[in-house]
Amino acid sequence: MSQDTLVPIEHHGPSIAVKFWDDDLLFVGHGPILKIYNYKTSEIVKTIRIFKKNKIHGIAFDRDTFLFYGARSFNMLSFDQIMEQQNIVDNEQMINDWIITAEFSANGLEAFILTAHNVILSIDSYSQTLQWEKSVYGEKSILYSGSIRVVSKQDVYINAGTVMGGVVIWNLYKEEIVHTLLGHEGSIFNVQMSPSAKYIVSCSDDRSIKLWDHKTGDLLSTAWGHTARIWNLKFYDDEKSVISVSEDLTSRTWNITENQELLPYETYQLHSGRHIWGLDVSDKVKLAATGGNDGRIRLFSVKTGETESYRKTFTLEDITNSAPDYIIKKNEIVKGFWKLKFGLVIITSEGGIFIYKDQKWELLRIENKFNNFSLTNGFTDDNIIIFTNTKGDSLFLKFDEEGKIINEKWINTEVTKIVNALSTKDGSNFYLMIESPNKNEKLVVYEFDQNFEISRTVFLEKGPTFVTTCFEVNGDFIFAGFRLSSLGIYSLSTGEETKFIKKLSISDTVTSIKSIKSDDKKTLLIISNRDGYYVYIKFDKATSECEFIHSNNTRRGFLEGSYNINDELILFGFKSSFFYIYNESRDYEIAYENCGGAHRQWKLFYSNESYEFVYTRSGSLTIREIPKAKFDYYLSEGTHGREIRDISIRNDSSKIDDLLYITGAEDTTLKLSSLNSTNGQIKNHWTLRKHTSGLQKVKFLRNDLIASSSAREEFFIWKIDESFNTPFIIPYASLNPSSDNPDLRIMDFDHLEVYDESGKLQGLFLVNVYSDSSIKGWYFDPETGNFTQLINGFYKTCCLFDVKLNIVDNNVYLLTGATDGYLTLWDITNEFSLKVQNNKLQMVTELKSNKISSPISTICVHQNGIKSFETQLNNNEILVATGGDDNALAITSFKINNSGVEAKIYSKIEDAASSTITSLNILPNDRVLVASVDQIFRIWSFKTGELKLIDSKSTTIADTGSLDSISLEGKDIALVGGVGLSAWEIKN
Amino acid sequence: MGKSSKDKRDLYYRKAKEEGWRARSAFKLLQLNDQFQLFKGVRRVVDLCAAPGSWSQVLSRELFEKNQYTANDEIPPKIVAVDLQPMAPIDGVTTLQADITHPKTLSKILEIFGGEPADFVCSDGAPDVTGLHDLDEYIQAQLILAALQLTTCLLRPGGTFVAKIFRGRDIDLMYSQLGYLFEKVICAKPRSSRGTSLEAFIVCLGYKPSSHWKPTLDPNVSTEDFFKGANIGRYELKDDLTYEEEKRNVAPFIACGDLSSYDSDATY
Ligand SMILES: C[S@@+](CC[C@H](N)C(=O)[O-])C[C@H]1O[C@@H](n2cnc3c(N)ncnc32)[C@H](O)[C@@H]1O
Repeated sequence: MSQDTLVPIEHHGPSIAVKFWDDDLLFVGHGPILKIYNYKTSEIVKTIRIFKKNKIHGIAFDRDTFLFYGARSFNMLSFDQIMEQQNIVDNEQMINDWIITAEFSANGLEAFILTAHNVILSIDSYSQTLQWEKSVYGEKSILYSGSIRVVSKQDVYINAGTVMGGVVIWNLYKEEIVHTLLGHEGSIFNVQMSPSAKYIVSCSDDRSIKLWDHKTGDLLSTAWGHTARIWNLKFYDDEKSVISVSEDLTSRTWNITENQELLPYETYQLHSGRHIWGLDVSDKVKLAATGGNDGRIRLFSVKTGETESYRKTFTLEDITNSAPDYIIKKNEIVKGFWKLKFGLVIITSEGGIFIYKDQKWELLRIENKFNNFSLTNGFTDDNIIIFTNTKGDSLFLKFDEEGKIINEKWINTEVTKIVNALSTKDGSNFYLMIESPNKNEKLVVYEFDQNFEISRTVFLEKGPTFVTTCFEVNGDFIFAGFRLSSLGIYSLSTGEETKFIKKLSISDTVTSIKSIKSDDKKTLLIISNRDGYYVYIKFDKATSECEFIHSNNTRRGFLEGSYNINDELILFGFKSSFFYIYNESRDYEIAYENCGGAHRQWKLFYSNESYEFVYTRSGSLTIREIPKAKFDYYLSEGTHGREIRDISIRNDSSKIDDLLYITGAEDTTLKLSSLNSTNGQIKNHWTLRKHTSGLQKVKFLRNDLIASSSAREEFFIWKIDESFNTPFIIPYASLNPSSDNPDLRIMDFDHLEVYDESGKLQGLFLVNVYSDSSIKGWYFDPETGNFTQLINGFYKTCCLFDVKLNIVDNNVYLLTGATDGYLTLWDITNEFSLKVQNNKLQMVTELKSNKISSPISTICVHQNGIKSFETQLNNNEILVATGGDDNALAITSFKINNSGVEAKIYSKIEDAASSTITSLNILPNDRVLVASVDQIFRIWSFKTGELKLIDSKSTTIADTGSLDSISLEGKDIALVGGVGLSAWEIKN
Repeated sequence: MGKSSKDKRDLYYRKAKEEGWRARSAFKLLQLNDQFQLFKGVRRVVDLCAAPGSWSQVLSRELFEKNQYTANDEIPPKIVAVDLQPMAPIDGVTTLQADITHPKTLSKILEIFGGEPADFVCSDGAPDVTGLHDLDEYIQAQLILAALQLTTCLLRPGGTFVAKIFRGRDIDLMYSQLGYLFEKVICAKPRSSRGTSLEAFIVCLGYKPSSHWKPTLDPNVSTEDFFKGANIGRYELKDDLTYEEEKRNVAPFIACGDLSSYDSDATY
């Protein structure tokens, strides 16, 4: 066996252990690999493997000695060893039981290891040998969790969380039970004792957190909040606060009140998929770090009172106090506001204009023209604000940096009434749009400059769904968004409508339009819709063609707008009573504010890398600042956080260091990402939320086309557009479900290219196989996105797992694999309307649907499900590599000759893996790459006809379920997916 | 590790309802029996992790109805069913609500058997999964080991042990260890168990107790301590705590239930 054919490049997967050390380092376990980050600079200081196979579940340290543990393994190392020693895994040691937790003794001379059977082992820190074992008589039943609190040299407590709802606190040196804390239901998933041993907190299957008094064993408080199981807890802030992480993807902080009540404080939405495992808090720097199943590492500030200090709330009295003569009228409220560079300007419903600057309110003036009603617009970075009333008066004000008015102007718009005023900017031109409720009155758009010189006034015909909700100007075009999800495009110079698009999305209102990239020829628009959808449109300035190049559903309540910041898409809106700001490109929440919901005056401002959310609630005005984070609060790019079910890498040799690939997961999403094949780093571009059930398959059909399938018969074709920096992707076509059975899955699909008579590529012949044993084939026209059914067939009453199409000697063969372990070959050449010429499918003028008759050959290769297969053509022979649920790997041949088909198993290894083979790929040189649930990645050769193992390596990816590989200029690269993703180079 | 919402749509689920089984799992035991004749000559059984009780129903039918038990039989049939969850009574079945990983539970079961051996021990146990695959696998292995502990104390030589497994990373360690105690160790997958799930059953035939290891149940002995000295290839704690690879072995795989039986992955 030649060694090292399979070489790991990088691993992206769940992180269970995170630990702060020193002032600026964060130790993170990613599977068996340790990464040390300097979180102040976001740099990775060190990457090193700690265990051969096991994952790092926890990290303990004493000064500069570390103990890493996971499963039955541990490794005790000094900081210098970690930084300098080569083969640290050689130092790995083990015990005979699962390690629940570990901690150093008070003087650091020994380390305590708690096993899953409630036994403490003492390990000498120098010799790293076993010194003694301790336990409490009769208390060796199994634990799910536990912690060790070293209070002093003599006082060491073991906090053991059992499977049956009890927490057992015992004293290590007395080997005595201190308390058995009863009250939780189900398994205890975490228990911690506070540093001075005053309190104990615990959580269980019942989703509550319980606070106990260590002295008396009394239950002090039970707190609720998490919507799924809680996995980890920590005390911080001098025993005054507790932080938790959960399956529900949030981390929550809890305060212990003077009455020893545990009360919820903040909620942080941090990860994607499912589960946050790792948690640590640094009391010194007041930061928390979390590690998720998605492989991300998040950092956030848990300074008590910090969010409060970023939030200021004022009543109208607070605001008007500065002007003793100002008399608040009955029902007077804050009507509008705009943030300018020096501070905030507000207007009341009685026309009182105030500014808030340097923490002080100041009355600017009272404008009686804005009694009762006014609309507020502005330009933050230009210190301009505009008030408009119903009668048509608009007041333009320009301020200097100090907040003094340096220019002002009134204009009047002649319409019967004004209900709406909106503003936008294009380059150095400013625009104000005025709208009357009267159908027959046109929209008025003013163009003006810094000095309020109006350079033009444009009148626009209203769209059929008028009430304008947002607008944008770019070059000679005005883009206006309306209710009912429609968009009007007008010429700025003539006011003529050039285009009107109805139904950008399903319904609801267009909430923002932004032109984010443009040149003379085109502009890229991002449009958000209140129903949660957003679209990117490529607008051609010469033809006024609108090409939809991206659309996605945020699935998070009302979507109110977007920013494009450093090429990342930032979205904001409301979800129930919360306002959220979300980084959609990187899929994480930036901030949230419990403001009571969407029905209020509100506005979000962004400038100088920080946000300010201003809103009114029951008569008061709140300013919530969201300053730029001190550190990058997103240290590592992750994957889905659920099992990756399929992977497809685009075979585009022009982009070796930026390989586009797509993954489909159990979480129902697809992620379009790029891989740097040299260092294994990944970059996620989009998380696509269109499927409604876990993904079955996803594949590149062409460089710009991808297909994906799942249950509910969902089958989508996606189109990629790469005319901008970020690749865009849009659901382009879909198949209609044939039944309403939610469990009917499209298990696999394959395709062949279809050409016209001159040999030009025209479309695709696509075949799907289903969990109800049916086979359906279509002609897909990439120009129109239409499907025309060509074939339908039926196998048996079992689930079809796989399908492949092959052309041999101008005959078209369809091969299926099923749960019964059979490979079945169908000759469909004369059973569908496409022609075959020179071993290529050729388009015909009339497409008909045919039923395919019985197969021509069938052979039992596996005992049950054929989980994965691939074919290779050798002249008139179709070679099939199959991997089964029965652990077997086989090479079967279908030899096609004049007399018929001869099927034969060439080579079969019954125990090719110790568990299900889930995915395989044929590589050049008659080799096959195989992934299986036993977490061993193998490569076999079948050159001689016999399967021979070339190399095998253990992977850290649990539930290994998918694999794809490509060959690029002699370099073979593979991605293996499951819970996580790993990149491999396959050497020759 | 099961997917309960999906189970409801499956044919076996409907068939179980029709035939009066408490769970679709009944077909798994029946299909295992079709392949291995598990019930032949069996009079005394322990059904671990038995709730809601469909395996116990199958066993009760086999031992009391089919085998035509007569009062003058020397050894009357006995079925003991254990689960964390309460179980509705079944004719001829003694039920016990307890945790099988707790050392005291096993002593209780031994008491019920009053010194007589059992012919067959089965366990269909599955813990609630956390999502940490290695931990879930460990807990599952602990359930199997707890069942095996009881088995070594109770099963007659030549007897059979069947337990549910999830074929994950370390399942070959389990196969190897069971190989020391049984003539034959097979990984069996009934067709009624979904092909898309990692569930399978380990069928251990022909118990051959070790001649130089005497299993003893003691409430202060954990599963790990229990197998000390059993020489079944389990890593034992050493003072120098050196890392060692334990023996692994791939058990032969057998899919059972004939091909004409329903496919649990298919959609009807
Ligand atoms: C799949 S069900 C068994 C179904 C059963 N064979 C039947 O046919 O009805 C798994 C059972 O394992 C039980 N279980 C899990 N852990 C256990 C433990 N430690 N002790 C006892 N029972 C346990 C659960 O309560 C659950 O009822």
